[in-house]
Amino acid sequence: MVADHYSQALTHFRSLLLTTIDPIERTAALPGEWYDWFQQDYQTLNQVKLENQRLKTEVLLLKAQQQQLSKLKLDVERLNRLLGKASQMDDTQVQIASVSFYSQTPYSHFYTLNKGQLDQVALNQTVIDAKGVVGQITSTTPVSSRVRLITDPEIQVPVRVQRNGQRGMLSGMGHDRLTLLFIPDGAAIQKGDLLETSGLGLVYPEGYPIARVTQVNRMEGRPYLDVQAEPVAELNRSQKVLILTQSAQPREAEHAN
Amino acid sequence: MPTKVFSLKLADVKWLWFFSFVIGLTLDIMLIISAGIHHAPSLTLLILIFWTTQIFQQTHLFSAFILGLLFDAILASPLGAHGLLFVLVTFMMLRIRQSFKAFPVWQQSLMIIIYYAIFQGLSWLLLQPTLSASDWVFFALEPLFAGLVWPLVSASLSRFTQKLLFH
Repeated sequence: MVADHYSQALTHFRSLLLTTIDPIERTAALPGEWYDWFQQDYQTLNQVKLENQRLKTEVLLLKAQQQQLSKLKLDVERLNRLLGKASQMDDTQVQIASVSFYSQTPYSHFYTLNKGQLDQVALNQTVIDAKGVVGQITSTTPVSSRVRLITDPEIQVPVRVQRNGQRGMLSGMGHDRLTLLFIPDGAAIQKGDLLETSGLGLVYPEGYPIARVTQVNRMEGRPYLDVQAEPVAELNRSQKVLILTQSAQPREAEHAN
Repeated sequence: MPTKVFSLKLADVKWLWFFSFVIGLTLDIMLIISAGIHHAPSLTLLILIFWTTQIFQQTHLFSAFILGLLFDAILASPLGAHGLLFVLVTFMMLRIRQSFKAFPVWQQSLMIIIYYAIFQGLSWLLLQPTLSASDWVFFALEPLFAGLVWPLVSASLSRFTQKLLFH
């Protein structure tokens, strides 16, 4: 228990257990999948047409944004070259995965994804959805992987306030609640502030939105504020997620310089 | 001391024994993970208790540990936590299994409630679950649900065992 809790010594053993239990998990998921399949089958053609129209519009908007982003990326690279620094924009690759299981028990909060070691999914990769960071890959089997969600009490993420760069540590509290730790009393933080990953610790890539501040309380005689937040990702509803693979090239280039 | 209580032999019911655990684990995953009924009592543990009280030649401690490890893998809890809890409950049951088997069903259910409450208390200490106010009520009631489910688990497995042995 101690070895598993404080180190990654039993990662392979856990992976073996998960691989053993995988056929049972898949069998247990069948009733839910059949229910979803029947439900989808009853959707009217009209609804599908409307959805298609909406998605086409969304793709068009995203393409336009992508063009702007490519231009911005080039601008940043050019400015960095002028300053004599390597580009700091990470070249992140993504992989789409489907959520097979969503579990929010009192003991842990996790997703089971349909991509595993055979799809080059590895431990500690960050997982995001359309709105923000979802969690981190904590165990893998050849055909599936487990993502610990950011609301899990075991997970802590280094973050910063997007508005002013104030750094802190975001920790899960269960039940879709998060708390921001180590924010000194007197720091400029307010309700509604968006928190994004700071990239410190080199586990989570920098600049992804993760949570929004819902409550800031001052505590008498304490040096830190009590800051509550809620995840921006749709943890209860996401069906498709993206697994991020950070390319080592930018950092290597940084070290080379 | 020779025992006069009828005991099953594992060799006679090995497939039923094995598949009962597979079905128990499947139903547990279905209820706890897929359906989101977090406070459903563990059927795997109830099935383990059933076999502990039916097959006297084995201690079932190794099976308890392996099932506990699988439970840890399912729930993503620290490896060995449920292993330890399952072994403890099985050990406590080993000490009274002959008299437990002779109890009427209501008394067996009562014992299950007590043992399951110990299991719940220890898992609360060991695993520190995050519980909201409403969760606490269901968490506290889980042993009672286990006691209510026990007659069904016990009767079904006894019936299957009888069919397997005498038909």
